[in-house]
Amino acid sequence: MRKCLTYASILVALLLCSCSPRFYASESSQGMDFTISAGRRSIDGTMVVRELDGNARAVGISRFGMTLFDITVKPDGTYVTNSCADFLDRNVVKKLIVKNIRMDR
Amino acid sequence: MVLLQCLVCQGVWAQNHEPMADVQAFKTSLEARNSSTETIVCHFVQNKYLSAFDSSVKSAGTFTYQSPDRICLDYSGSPSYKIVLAGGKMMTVSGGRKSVVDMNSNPVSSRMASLISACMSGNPDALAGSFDIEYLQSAGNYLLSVKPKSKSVQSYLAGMDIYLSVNDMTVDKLVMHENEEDYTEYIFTDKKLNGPIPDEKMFDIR
Repeated sequence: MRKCLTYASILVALLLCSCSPRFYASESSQGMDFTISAGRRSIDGTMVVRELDGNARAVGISRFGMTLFDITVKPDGTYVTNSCADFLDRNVVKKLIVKNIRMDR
Repeated sequence: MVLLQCLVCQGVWAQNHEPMADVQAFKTSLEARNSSTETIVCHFVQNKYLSAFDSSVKSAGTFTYQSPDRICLDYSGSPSYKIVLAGGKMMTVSGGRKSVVDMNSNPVSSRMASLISACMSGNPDALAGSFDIEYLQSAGNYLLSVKPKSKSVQSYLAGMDIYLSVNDMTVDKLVMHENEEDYTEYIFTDKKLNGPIPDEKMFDIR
């Protein structure tokens, strides 16, 4: 557990594997691969984003298929965490995810 | 044709299962299969259902197992991605970039990895300490319904359904339920038992 907390606390980079600096949510689901790295450690997965009820909903899935995070991003940039794996549940991580999502308007 | 295939598959999985008549006989047969199986190479499809979007994320690739505990999930597509479990370590290779972790250092990933390993190697007894297992069967398959005992595990894994073929007792399908709605299923097809594995070095973790 201690290792996990250390891991989370030193998360320094969210590398969204795309040329675009922003991921725009639209009415159809869009997926992109992501890597969250901390030092030599990293976790890869796919993030699916879609516009729902005027908000953007982003769900991160590990390669195994486990849901890593499920975040609703409001048009004003604030967000609601629907669920998040313990080892990622840190504001710095979630803010980095949110920062990369914008509404398609 | 694809639709027909899907309907046939759904029919097989949807069969009514009843409690297994002789669990001990089943375990004995499974153990015999395990001891006679050195390698399994097959195709797999991974289907993650997201209730939030009422849609699925699909991926596929090649699954390789080598006795006693080596497993490789080699995902097709771009970027290339591979998960290797061997000797208590888990290696992921994404787009040529390697990451090796001790299975104990990431509790969630290691738990998922060991679960898949125990399921695919057909060793439910490895789960017995931490999970309640219900043994069921139908005409088409055996079903092991697995529920975690620990509340911390329940927070990310509500349960698993492991479907085994009545013919060769290999795993046909594995469903991991995160909650009542979201799940990930793995479907294994074109299984080749005790054949050569694609690359002897695929399990080298360094």
